[in-house]
Amino acid sequence: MTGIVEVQALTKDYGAARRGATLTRAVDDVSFSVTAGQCFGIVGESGSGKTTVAKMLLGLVRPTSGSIRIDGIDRQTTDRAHRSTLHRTIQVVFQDPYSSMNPRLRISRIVGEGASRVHPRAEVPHEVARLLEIVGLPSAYGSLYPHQLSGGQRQRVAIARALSVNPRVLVADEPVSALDVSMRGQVLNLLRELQQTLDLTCLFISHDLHVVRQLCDEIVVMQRGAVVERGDPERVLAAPAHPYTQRLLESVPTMPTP
Amino acid sequence: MTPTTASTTDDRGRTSSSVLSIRNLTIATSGRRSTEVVSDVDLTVAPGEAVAIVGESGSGKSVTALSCLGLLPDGLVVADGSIDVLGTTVVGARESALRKIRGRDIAMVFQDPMTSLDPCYTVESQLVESVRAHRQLSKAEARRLAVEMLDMVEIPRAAERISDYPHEFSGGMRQRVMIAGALILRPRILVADEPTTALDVTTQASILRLVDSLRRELGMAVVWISHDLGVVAEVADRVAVMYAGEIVESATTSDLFAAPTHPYTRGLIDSATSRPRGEPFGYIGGKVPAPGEWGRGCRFAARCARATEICAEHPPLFSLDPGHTHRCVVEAEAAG
Repeated sequence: MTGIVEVQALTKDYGAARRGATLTRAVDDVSFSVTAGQCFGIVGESGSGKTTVAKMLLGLVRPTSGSIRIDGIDRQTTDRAHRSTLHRTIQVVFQDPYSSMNPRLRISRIVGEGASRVHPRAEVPHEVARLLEIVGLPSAYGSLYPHQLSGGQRQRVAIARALSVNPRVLVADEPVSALDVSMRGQVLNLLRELQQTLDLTCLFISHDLHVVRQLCDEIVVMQRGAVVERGDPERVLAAPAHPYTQRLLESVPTMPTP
Repeated sequence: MTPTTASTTDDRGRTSSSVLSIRNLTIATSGRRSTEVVSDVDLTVAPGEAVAIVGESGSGKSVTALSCLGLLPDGLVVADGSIDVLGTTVVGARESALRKIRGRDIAMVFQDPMTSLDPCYTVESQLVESVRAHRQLSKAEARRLAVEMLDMVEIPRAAERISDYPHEFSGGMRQRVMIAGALILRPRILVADEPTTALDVTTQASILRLVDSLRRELGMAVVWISHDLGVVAEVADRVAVMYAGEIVESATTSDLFAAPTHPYTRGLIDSATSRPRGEPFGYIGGKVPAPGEWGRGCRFAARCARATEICAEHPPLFSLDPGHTHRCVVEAEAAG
């Protein structure tokens, strides 16, 4: 069975362009397959290459070698129609919802830009209201600016924006790390609910092993650019086979359970 | 180095064994229309003790910490209350008096080491400068002390690395340099304001363990400022939970996790609890009210599922057990 996202022998080197420059291998021979409708976790610390993988999936960074197929289309395609389809198929929610939004645009514009690509102009306002509703925001928020919202609300707007082109794959790169602990649960619950109701495939990138265990169907653990362990998160975290996964797990500060 | 127990005498002539004592601290914006940002905070720290102040952004925890060193940012003033650091009254003290206690009696480590280290100077010149500001030592002696300190915070090849610039260190190593700088005069109190928030989990764990072992080794007290209950559980003897500028619950760490009483504390614990796959994540609905929007009653009431009409009045601190206090009227009435 082929997955909706197929990554084969993906490698990314930085610093190779200049002569004599030292080569840094950010991603090293990474392969994985994500089944449609799954929540797939990529776990690792900063520098592990997880965000570089995400950027290559989104077409923001060009791989040095290896291949990515999303819904059957080669990520490196130069065909205009295919590139446009890819744009609509895979969308992203970043860690910091503030730096990823133009502070001078109203929420309705931020969400409406994507919607106008797939809906006739007359229907856009209605579509924006619908999108805000599915992420749990009142439609009146459309007239506000990003700074008028809380971090959690901004992240909801970021999700609404990502959904505005009806994507099939949603990449969420540390989507709750910048939020207060008490706010995180709401956004995570929303992501899961949307994933189920909209039949989305979710690539969840995180360093938080507890969140990943609760949310994901399958995970890969990355260290220094390479996948060191993969499988069912319950199994991987209950009995980590790789020493790095063990170290990661031991490092997570945990609360005593009463 | 074995520290002597601090004995400070308070204004009533009693001796108390605390290194830091905050009494009825209220911090507000300066100017005519002043707004409270911290209200009526009481906190005592014993020698060698590890106390954590937990709260989310906007709870007033960092401002409380800064006020202990007389470092309140412009626009904020101590409106009421007192702070005593090893016998020195901090509130209202002259800058020259504050300079004497900073670093020597009480030191601070911040979240982002890059903002407290000067990028233009080597680690050596920054550490040597802070030693010589307090102690009459030659440059060579101060340097020897600095190398010793870098060694103590487990920076490999300390004698060589001391001549490096801050940017030449990794994030975790830079935080170790900061800790070395804070501890070089062997202060009795270290205030650690989210020192590991910007770091990776494995680096975070090593820094937490390092500071905790230095606390034991040097016999200093540590005040941890954090939003992460997991971190707090790992390193603190006692916890004060802050919400909207006030302490809403205070207890030993084991009591707090065994019997969390204030609905906010419970919500925080619930939000950070990991559950089996597929189960919903815990959270607290609504958002933290900004200073000026606190109202007269319980500040958490608007987000609290247990709130009733009695919450319209501002709750005092109730005592649950010795050493365990909270600010919830509903809980206090239920307990009888």
